[in-house]
Amino acid sequence: MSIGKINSGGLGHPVAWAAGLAWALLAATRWAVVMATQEGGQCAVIWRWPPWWIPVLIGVAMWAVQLLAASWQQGWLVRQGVERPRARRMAGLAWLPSLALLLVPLAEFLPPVFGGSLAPLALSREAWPLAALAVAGAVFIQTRLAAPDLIRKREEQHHPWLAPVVFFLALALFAGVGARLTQESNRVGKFMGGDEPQYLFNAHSLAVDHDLDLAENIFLRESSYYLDPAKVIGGHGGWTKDGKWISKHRPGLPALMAPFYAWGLYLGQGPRKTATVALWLLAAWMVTEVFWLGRLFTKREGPALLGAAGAAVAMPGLIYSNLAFPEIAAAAFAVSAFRLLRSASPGQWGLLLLAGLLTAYLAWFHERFVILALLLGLYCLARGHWRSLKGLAAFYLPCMVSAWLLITYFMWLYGQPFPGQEIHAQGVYLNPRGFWEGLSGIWVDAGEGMLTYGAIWLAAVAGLVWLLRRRPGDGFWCLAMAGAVYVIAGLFADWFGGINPPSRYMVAAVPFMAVGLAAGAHWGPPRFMLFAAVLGALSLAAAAWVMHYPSAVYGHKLVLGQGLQFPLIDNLLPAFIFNYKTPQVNASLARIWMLLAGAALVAMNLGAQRYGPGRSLAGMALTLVLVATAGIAADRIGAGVLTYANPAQRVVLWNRLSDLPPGGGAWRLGAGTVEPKALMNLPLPPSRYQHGGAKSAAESSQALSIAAGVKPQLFVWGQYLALPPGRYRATARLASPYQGPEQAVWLDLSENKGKSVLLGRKLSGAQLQEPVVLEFQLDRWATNLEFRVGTTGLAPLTVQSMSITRLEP
Amino acid sequence: MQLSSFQPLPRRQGIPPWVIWVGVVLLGLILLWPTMQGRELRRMAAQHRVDANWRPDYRLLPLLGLAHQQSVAQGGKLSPGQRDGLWAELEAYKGSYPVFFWLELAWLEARAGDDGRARRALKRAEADNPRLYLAMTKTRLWDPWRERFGLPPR
Repeated sequence: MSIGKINSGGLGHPVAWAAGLAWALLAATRWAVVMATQEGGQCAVIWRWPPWWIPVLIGVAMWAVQLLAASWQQGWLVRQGVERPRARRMAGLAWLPSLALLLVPLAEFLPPVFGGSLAPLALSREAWPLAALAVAGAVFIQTRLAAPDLIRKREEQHHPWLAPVVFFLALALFAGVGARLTQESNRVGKFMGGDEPQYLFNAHSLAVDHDLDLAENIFLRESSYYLDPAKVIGGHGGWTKDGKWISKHRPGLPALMAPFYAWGLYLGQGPRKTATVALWLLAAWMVTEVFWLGRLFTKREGPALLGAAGAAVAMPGLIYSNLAFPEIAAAAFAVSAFRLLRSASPGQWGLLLLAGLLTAYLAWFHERFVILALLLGLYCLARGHWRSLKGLAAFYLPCMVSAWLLITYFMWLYGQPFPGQEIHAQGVYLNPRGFWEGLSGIWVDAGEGMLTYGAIWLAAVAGLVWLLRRRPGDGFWCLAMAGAVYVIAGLFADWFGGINPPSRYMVAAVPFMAVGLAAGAHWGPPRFMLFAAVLGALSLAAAAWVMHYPSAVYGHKLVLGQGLQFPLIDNLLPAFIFNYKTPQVNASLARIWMLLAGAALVAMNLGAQRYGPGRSLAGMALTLVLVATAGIAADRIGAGVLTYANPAQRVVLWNRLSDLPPGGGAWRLGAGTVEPKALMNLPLPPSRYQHGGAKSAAESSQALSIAAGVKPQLFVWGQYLALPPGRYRATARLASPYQGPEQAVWLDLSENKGKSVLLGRKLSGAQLQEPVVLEFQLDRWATNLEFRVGTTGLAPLTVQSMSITRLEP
Repeated sequence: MQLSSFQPLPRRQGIPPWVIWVGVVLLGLILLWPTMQGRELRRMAAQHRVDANWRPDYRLLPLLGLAHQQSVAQGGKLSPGQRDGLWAELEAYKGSYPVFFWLELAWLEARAGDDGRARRALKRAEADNPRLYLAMTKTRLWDPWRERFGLPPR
């Protein structure tokens, strides 16, 4: 047999060629820019293409790469000992799942032609890399399954050096996150949100005064060691009967941070930075515990590493490694106590004492962790530790002492053994708006959802079900620990955690869910790993985006909505915390995505280690259809994918247009009369960017008015746009009763937060009768661009509207 | 091949436990060293700020911190010159919420035994923000002088 025959054999199967066509078509259509718009009830989609030879070249190149891969793939199967004719057939058929990729361009072209929802188009344009990754993974899996002898018996491994490596890698990662946050905070001002200053204030008091009375620290304004000295914080506290000002935040975390915080004071460095080292250590410890627990359950290190990676890299673990909240500490203490109880033999009092101490400390982070402590107490009994009185005492004695101290502490603070609900953010614990909001919002809310910011947690939950199936005891208790955290958070009125995406209250569940990743990787079918890869890629992208834009973490913003052209996150997902007025819409949107998540959970718990490319194709196609259907349903219920409220999304479109090589054609699909003018126009409502003495005008909620006689200064500024190269027109509509020749107003366009002015214009009263137009050209990206308005105070002024229009292309 | 009927004695591998424990204790001591300085840490932190000329508009803060620590360490003794300096700084202070600093100064004066100046500082605090004055005089720090200065009961 000749070498040539060996190399070209895999290309003989028609499926390999058809798959190549699907990949080529997908690749060729990616560079085009889609402008979808609607006017009234009609919508149109305009495809703007690069010069024709670019898509053709990309398509042909992709096809060539695919054929090379197919050729190598068949050769590989032959090298594994599969007979040549069989190898050719199996290698060719392994490409079957690729045909699902044909659905992507179909979803983009068909709906506008037939007047259907444009959600599949928007999803395809933004999420096609995930479809490509899933299909590539499916082809890889089918190829591997075509040589079943290759599936080796999984060996139990134990490398003692691996745990320290995991710890130090995690520590380095969290230090990197810290460096990024520090870099960004120096640029945009101090980062400090929610209760963080309060925890640091307590750490300060413990470090300096060795007590919890904050009165002296308030008088001396010692919060200025990490906050603007102009700000005053009272420590969210109240007076005790003996005249001490005590915070309502528990001292558990401050006590852990205090030694690190003290080093900052000692060295004259920012104590917030040194206190963060304690958080890094706690987070790295939590990740190492996940590794240990995953290895304990699966007896393998690979899956355990996957679990540890999920805990470290996915949100919320990644960001909470640097936020001064007790969540990451509670996660570390709870999972460590759990692992010790799991590892210890009855009567092994040393380990049990350590588990008891960790459990006893939990409630000192926050009283809601009492539930986790109670569960750990039950777990201690369930593990059979009741057989030894010494072991039992070692675990329960610290817990009982801690409980007594805590009750004494609460009696001293509140005059009752457990704090009442009035100390919580909204004065109540249970959500008065209904439980569905929190229970679903925690997963799928646009601003605070775990799955929105870390889709990998869906695979983790599916993995916990695998753990339950294969190790019922371990699975049950891990689910109980994670479930308790979830239910406690989900029922709470402030389920979103007050600040920071995703929901901060779920951080304590992270280690117990991450163990599910290890379990799923060990016991789940190849499909599980495919889901894990795709969801992991999505999680990494979300984490990277948050790290790119960390200032948004300190505020309720749709961080992930900033990077997409279509408002998928903004409009297809529920956004409970932004839109209390339409709870029914949010509830329905949440139902859709929770159902889809449920379907994915079922899919990850089915499947076998058998070669079946037909089944794989069906599964892949079904997945795409299900996602598209969910998108269509959400598009109909919510604001829809064509309702642009976020300026960032228009800027993304303009950026894509800037990147498009000129000279290509344009296709129009849908209504012939609809033009995408709105997409080229970016309204900048003056009232949103008003400063100084400007007030909202009576005539419109977006307009603002400035009285006569004010000191000459800027009154409208702060849009801080990032605009791609191109030609633009800035338009402002102004009005004033003064029509004389004196200068009344000036307008300008500036970059870099006003450091450089691109162009400006001085206007007399007479020039205010017509819209003021400033045209400008950007030859490179402009950052922090502002369209500013100032008045001399000569006459009253009304700023009716402002906008920036992108001129072609 | 077994050459002896004796079983080999088990030998511990790795670092002896006492070395680990000594290491842990040493690391713990190093970690806790600044915390063990207690209120002296307040002086160190304030001195760092004074040395670095930190925020001239808020230089009163480290000066008060230093005075507070000295007052505690010396049983209330503060030189009249130092107290005069604090008065001058506070008179010139243009930042937010001076009420807290007037209360602190009053406390320092009371500890130094100068009731007259303490009363004057309290009046300035009350004039600046009566609500916070009432709220913050509930602290146990004022217990020794509560009746003497006619402060509201806790």
